[in-house]
Amino acid sequence: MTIFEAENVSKVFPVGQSMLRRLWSGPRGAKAVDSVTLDVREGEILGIIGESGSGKTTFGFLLANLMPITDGLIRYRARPLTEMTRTERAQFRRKVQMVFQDSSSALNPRRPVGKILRDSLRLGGTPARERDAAVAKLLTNVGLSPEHGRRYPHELSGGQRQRVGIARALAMKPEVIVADEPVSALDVSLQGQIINLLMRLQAELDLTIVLISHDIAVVRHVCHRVAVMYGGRLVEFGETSQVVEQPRHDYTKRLIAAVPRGLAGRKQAGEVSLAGAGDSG
Amino acid sequence: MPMSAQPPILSIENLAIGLTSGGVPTPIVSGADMTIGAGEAVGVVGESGSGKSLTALAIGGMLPAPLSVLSGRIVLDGTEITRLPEAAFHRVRGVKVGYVFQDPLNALNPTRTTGKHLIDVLRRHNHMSASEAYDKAVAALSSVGITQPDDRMRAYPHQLSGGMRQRVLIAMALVCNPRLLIADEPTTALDVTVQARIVDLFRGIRARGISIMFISHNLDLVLEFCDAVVVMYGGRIMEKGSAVEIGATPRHPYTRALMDCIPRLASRSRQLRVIPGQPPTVLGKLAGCPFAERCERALDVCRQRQPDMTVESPTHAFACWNPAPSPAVPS
Repeated sequence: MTIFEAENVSKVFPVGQSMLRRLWSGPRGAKAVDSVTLDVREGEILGIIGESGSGKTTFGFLLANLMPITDGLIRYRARPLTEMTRTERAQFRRKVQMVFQDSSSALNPRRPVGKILRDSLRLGGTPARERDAAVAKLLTNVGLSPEHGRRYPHELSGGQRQRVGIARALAMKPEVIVADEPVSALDVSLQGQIINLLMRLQAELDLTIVLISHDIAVVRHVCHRVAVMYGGRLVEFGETSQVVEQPRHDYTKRLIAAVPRGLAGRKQAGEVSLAGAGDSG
Repeated sequence: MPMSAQPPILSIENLAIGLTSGGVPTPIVSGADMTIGAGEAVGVVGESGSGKSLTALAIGGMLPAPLSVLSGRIVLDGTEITRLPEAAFHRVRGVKVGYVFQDPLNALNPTRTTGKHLIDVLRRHNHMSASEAYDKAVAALSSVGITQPDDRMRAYPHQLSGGMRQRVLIAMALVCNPRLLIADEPTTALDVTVQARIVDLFRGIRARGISIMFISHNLDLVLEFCDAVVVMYGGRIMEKGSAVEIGATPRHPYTRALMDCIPRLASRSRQLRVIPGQPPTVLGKLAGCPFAERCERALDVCRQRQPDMTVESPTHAFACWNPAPSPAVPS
């Protein structure tokens, strides 16, 4: 079952144009996403990888309907996002949740974690008298203890905050979670904990997860399929094992070559280029 | 790792960093011992809170108050700099030791051009004319792989990509020809592809004879190009050795765990290996090994007494009561 279909989706951010000119001649400017066509299957973990500026985050925002698309079409369960009624949109907002990269700015610093989760539960339609129990259950489910509900976001470590971000998404009883670089701000040792948590939740709750990442090694472990974006375009899309083992596109190959390989990656003295050439770097 | 007869560029002896409250010193980092030889790159690896950044800051006299060096010695290029007055550190920082930090955007002044940044550093530390400084700054930019350095001199930080900004910071750190470059997670904020190029740049810097202290939480990255590796946890050194020793025959369970938790392309397993629990918070008063709580191999003694360093080879030592068997079975 396909849950999302994106057809020739483009997003253009107007740059250096006056409002009038924009109205007159249509948007022109930076094409962050350029004719991307892909589908997300129900119950899969789909990886979207690419470097900064590749459009992967923008595409995630478009999927979650957090910004309008410039061109093309996204369907959620066969219903185009643009044709949804108010009620449908409200439902969609609950069903499709985001987890953001920077957990410290994604959580209200002035509210304790329990209150943050209660807010989401209220919006997700949990009756008031069940909310306390639900908060405790959410916290346990993401590997925290109910006691963490009394703490403020700054009193938690980065990994714990990211768990709260995930708990908040779960409070809405979502079908899809779009996770934008959920681990890239964390230590390598903690990344695995969060990734394993996402995988467990996906299996237990029948979630569909879109995992946006720049780390092909993480994606390799977790994702059923992977979409590689470069310069706003989708340059490769397929089963993860196939993309990783037989990459077709040059950029995918470079991405794979760039993963640190420990001792195996040591170069001989002769291979050292003096300035580590490369302008974009 | 060629341990030449030359004296090391940096030697840290039994360093303790912490705060003194009510006359009682409370160490956060203790027993830190390490040396960096001329032209040697040493990787310092550990999770957040392991004390690796504090150790780096202590070298330049930049510990944030109320932290200070409690005991031990830091000798840089033959001179003891452990308790220099602040004014004297001006002749150390930027001159003998250059720093590169994690977040290149916050480290640059958004209202100043690349050129202004570099020229400021040069003229602060040297008597030179503006035009002389300008020429040196251009040369510094091209030496870190920035093309069209003349144009880039006029660029503001926001006009540069993340990788380019990091190159500018590296150029600033190197412009006065220091003997030692300290880089604290210089690639963590960067894309993997850009990271690979920055690491190439560090290889080139070492090839010019500049010693490097490279701080990272990714052991695989450090093993790719460093000569020696120091693994820290909870403010203590857990294991140190040549990159080959640490990479091929790690003895400390923490080193093993750090290595196992890195997601690798070659592995097909879906579950990622993790280190259970959280890194310790800073001010834990611990009787035993700081890692004992999260360690698979922990014994009773691990929670009671701090292990001493066991010397495995002239370059390899570890602090553990129950080390992983040697030679390590490659996983």
